[in-house]
Amino acid sequence: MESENPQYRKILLRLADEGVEVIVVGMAAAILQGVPTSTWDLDVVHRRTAENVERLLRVIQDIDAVARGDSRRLRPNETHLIGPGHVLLETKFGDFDCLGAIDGGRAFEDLLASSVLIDFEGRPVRVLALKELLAVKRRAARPKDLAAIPYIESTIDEIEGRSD
Amino acid sequence: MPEIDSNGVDRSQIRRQLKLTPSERLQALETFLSSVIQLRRGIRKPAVSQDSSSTR
Repeated sequence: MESENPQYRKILLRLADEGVEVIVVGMAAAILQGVPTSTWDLDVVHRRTAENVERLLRVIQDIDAVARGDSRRLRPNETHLIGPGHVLLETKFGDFDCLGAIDGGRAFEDLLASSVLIDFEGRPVRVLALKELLAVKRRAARPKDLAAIPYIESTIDEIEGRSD
Repeated sequence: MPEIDSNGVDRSQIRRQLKLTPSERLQALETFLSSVIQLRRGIRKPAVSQDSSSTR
């Protein structure tokens, strides 16, 4: 399903208001920090405690999230979200991926030190810092990751005042 | 004026993004994606047959 109008803002606000602990990763994290690029999904790594998964499930229900590309339109449950796998969802606000771990098994707690808090419409939202995102993309090294590297690199240089 | 760096990235686009708030950056993305969806919808629209006999 292609959402009528992707509204990732609304997903982020809903997560923040519900107090769900997540780190925004992937290209949405890049965009939030000023990288001039685009993406068709919002990727987050969530803390996989029972309490946090319960909060995340409330948001998932609110945004009508179901398994992406599955004709049965299954809604994820606690079992899906408590593990390290990737739960890929389509929602009324666009595609939303809940990742139990990334980068060879790094969970929320492992990424925390490499994340930063940004102000998002008055709410604190945690995103993977650009330098860490760049390192993750380099390690992943798939064509789509390699394509993103120049944009992230140049944005870091611009922020740090390095001209070419 | 574009300022292309050695990565081939236009630094003026980065500077424009950095002037926005995170929320504004996401809004710009949403606007762009919505435009792409509208364009795709237009492209996919089936052509109307000029031959009326083919539908009767």
